[in-house]
Amino acid sequence: MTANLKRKDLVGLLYVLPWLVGFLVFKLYPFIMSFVYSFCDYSMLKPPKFVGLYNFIYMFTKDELFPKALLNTLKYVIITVPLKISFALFVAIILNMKLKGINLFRTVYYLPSIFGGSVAISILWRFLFMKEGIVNKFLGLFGIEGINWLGDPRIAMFSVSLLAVWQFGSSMVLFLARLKEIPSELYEAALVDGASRLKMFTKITLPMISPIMFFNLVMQTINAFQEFTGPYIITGGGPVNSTYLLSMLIYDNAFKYFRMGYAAALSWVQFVIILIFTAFIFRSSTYWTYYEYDEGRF
Amino acid sequence: MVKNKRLIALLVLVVFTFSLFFTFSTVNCEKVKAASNKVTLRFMWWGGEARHKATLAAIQAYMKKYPNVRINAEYGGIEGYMQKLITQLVGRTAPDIIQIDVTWIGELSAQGDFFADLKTFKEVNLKPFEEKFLKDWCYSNGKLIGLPTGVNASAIHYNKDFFKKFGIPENKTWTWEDILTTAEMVHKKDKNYYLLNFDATVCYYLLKTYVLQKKGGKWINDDYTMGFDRKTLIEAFTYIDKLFKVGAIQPFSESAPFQGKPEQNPKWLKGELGMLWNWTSTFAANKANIPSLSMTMIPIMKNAKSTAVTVRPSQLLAVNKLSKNPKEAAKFINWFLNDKQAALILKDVRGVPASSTAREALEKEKALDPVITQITSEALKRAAPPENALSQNQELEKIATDVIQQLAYKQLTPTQAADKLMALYKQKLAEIKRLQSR
Repeated sequence: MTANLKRKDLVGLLYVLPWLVGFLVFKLYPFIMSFVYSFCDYSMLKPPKFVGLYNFIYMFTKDELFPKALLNTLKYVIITVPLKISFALFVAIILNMKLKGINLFRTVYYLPSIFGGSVAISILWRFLFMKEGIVNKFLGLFGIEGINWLGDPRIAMFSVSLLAVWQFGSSMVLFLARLKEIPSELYEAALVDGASRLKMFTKITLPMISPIMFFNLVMQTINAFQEFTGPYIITGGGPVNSTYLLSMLIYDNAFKYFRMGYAAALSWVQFVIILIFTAFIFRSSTYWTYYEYDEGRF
Repeated sequence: MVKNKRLIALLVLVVFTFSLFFTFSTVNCEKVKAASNKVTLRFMWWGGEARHKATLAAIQAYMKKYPNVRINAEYGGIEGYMQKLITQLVGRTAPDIIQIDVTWIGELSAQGDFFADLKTFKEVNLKPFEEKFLKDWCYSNGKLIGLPTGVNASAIHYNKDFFKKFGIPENKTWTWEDILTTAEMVHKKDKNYYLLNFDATVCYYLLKTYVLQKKGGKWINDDYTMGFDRKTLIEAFTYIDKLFKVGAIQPFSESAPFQGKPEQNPKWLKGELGMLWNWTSTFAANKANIPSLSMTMIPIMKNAKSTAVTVRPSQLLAVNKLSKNPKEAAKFINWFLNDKQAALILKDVRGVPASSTAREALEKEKALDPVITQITSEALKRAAPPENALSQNQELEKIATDVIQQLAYKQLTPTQAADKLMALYKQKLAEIKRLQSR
């Protein structure tokens, strides 16, 4: 029996071995090493040299770009996450209606998420939103004067965020799946009681989808904090560093200036910030999420 | 008689069998020998479409000439090239033949020994290259790191149609003052047109050029100090500020999406911008988009202490020190840069060839754009001494381009810009010194 179990274990282990090796080599080892390097000067080409807390002190006292990048990143998260989630929910509610050809709409609305924030799409975004781009030409048809989407430091961050909002598909699909699970009896009972549509939305729909809302909020916050490709390609961090994010500061230090140690220190600070935000969302979720399952089951 | 006949037949048969055996065995031996001589080399470069096409054609020609050599091409754009190369060098997986930029030599040599010394290979003929050019740009610690692919110079690309539209003479020797007055005239005549297609990076080149022509010396000295004073810097920033004020440069708020890539600016492609400060090696690629493109020299002040005209190799071709076939790699580089056949295939995709044999072959066939030849030779006559690695540091460039953007967006006055740049440079130079002297 024991031998059998051991053999079974071995087979199981063999099955997970590729993942395990990948995890150890490509995730855990770099994770640990980045922590070690954050206390070093390391250019990749020369062996690392221990410098203690220097990188962290430099970051908070001397690097002019760090506070700017940090503030920009927070701005980006604050603009992108609520906008993306509300838009995803809005579209999910529409797509939950019983309409003709709804499957086609569902596919079409999911398409942007398949394209993703790739380099090609980011370049397309640049041409869409430039001063003489298609978006302004379209606005011109209605007599609206063109907006300087990418050239005005006050607006550029918003324009860049729109690319992320545009990829609302994955959050939307999750919302849609949950919306379909809400028992129709709840709405029928509310109708009988004479509840308004707004009441039904706030008292039935929102509480019922709150676990998905929580999941989307956590995932989108983490994603937004790590955003890189879109802003890097569209604006390159400009104008006047108004879209220069923490991830770009990390990239520039690591791969342009070859200050890997400093870049590692920056990424650990980024990690801690994400951790704090996620922990806050987790803590707060007890006040606004509702689980219909009893504790034992969930 | 019959016995004899049989004997002869047997003898013939034996001889025939043996000869057949020897023939086959010789063929086989040659085949085996050829197989054992088979060499595979990896060649990595960056460039645009025209360069890729010509380089691939040259590789094909070489493989036809030397069937035992197989060359695997690894190519793409400049974006991310250095990052990939550094990772490969660290991981010991870099290709055999590597195209590198001269500005990387200082940094790479300070960090380790990655390239073979090309002057030690008898396969390489250095005679067609100008000795001083090699000494100035291609050596590091007495080692010949790579061979120059071409001669590259800083120049101004201009649109002939634009000049015609505004009645600007083409054969003009530009001065700093001329640029200002002509630019003002252009923008006054038509609000949609700007003389200069300058982004923050080009403005940084202008800033350096202006200061160096006034002051001479280096942008950053070898002892990590600034090679300029506050007064000159304020003057240079004031000049740039004037350019913005008279409408010489398209406002950055409009050209922002093309920061770092002014040659892609739709206004430039439409012919609404007149001049672009760029390298001669990019002329062919830019001309493909704007057929009426020509080139002229950058402005030089009267009594300039330095012309600040940069003439440098377009790129270098180096051999990886860890290559298993360094001699074959060196042999290929020699053919690629010195051979007439290669020159006629490659033409000017890497600027005017640095090798005299290649250059002569192209001149004989009239395969070189006369504009490139003329500007390169003029630039060579006025070439400034080579820049040191510190003056080309990317962190310092980022600081300067940020300050220039703040000036352009009127967040700083020229004096404030100069003060800010000097304060940030002082701090960054101390940091670079700390990192480099460890």
